[in-house]
Amino acid sequence: MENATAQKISQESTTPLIEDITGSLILRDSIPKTDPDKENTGYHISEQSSGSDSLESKQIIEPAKKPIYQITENIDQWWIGEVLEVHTNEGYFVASLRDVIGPKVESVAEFDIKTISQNTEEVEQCLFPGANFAFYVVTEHGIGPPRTSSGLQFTMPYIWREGDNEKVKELYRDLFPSDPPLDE
Amino acid sequence: MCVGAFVKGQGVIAFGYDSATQKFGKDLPGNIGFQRFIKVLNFTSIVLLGNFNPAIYHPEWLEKFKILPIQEIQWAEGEKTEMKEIPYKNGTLVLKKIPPLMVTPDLTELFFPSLRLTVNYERFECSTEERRNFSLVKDVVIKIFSLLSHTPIKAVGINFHAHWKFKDPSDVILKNLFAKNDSAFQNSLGPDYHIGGTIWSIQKGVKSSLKIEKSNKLDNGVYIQANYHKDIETIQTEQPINFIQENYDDFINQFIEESKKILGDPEETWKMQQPKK
Repeated sequence: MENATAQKISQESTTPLIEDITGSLILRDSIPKTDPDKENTGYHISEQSSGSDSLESKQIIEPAKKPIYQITENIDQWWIGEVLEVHTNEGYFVASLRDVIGPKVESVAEFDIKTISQNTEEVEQCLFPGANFAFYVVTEHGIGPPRTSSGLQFTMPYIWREGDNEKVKELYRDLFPSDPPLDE
Repeated sequence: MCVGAFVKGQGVIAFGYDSATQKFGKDLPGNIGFQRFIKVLNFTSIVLLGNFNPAIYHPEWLEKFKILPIQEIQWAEGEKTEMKEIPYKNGTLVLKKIPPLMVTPDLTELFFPSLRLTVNYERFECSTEERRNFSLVKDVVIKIFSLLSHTPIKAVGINFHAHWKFKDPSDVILKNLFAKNDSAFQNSLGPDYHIGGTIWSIQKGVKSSLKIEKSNKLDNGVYIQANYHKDIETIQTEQPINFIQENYDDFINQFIEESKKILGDPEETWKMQQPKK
């Protein structure tokens, strides 16, 4: 790629500047004449200094860095879902979706149970009527055209429930009968 | 080059801009080539008081539930702790660059490119210094407390800051507002004193305060800070979410309108320079 660019520049001598692949501008006279044997060293030695043995007089140019492809995303839509019905045998569940960011619209939708997880144990843990989840639609940008996808993320049930305080006190009394009760 | 003046949208105001003098103004003559928005506000934060578990607010949790897009998390996670030793007097000074993510049981501090999140046991704060991310701050707070719907909340506060420069120097404006008969101040403090003040009011159950003082960002500019505070005692987050959703944009307008009524139209506003990464 750089060889081709260098040849092109030597032919078009009226062009004082060229744009390399990083987008920065470099002077035409400093375009390196690349030696195929030295390409893997990571540095190119300038043609102007090729006759000199002194490293100090050599003009060293770093090669253009390879672009790093990074995926970015836009969160297009985001809902809070609540499971209404679970139809395990049929493989789907019904949930209400609440748009908390945009206009307050509540809708009901059916989801394939497999969209939660392929792990049956994980599905059993999180999927029950009343369970909450976030449902989102995102557009990913990176290599290739933008890709739109959606996902479900369940919140874990609260461990501490109403009445658990009493259960703990009862358990504590049974386990440590000689101790004073917890609420005193 | 000068550009046109118009008002559009919620809290976004554009004036004429003279590139030669780098001044903004409503009465600048010349061509209307393109329209440029002045970012009139410099900072916003949404603060909730209540009982919080700082450890929950982990970057992975925010990413998993798509509260923030992946690039925000990756940027913050890519920042590493760096130590640098420099000679200082007879010894060495160690400079430590702290990574922008800290999650502990007592305190969580997350610095993302777009916003900042600080949570301790009693206080949650989400803030940004970029006008284009104001709505993101609102969305993030709403998403978080829609998921953590059983968080006990005591109060909600919505805050805005701005640095504006006017035709008159700040001292003239501020003395006119807060020290009309300034002979008493002059007699005791001399002629070079600075003054500022806070105006409180209660409207529809919302306590609002407007603090006006000399700007430390703009020469001869004025710093304005608004706080809209609502006491909400609840163990469900629905009420605070509704308050934020229904009022946030109105408060932006209210802040700009009130400030302009009190101080006049700004000729210049301060904008934070983005640090080079």
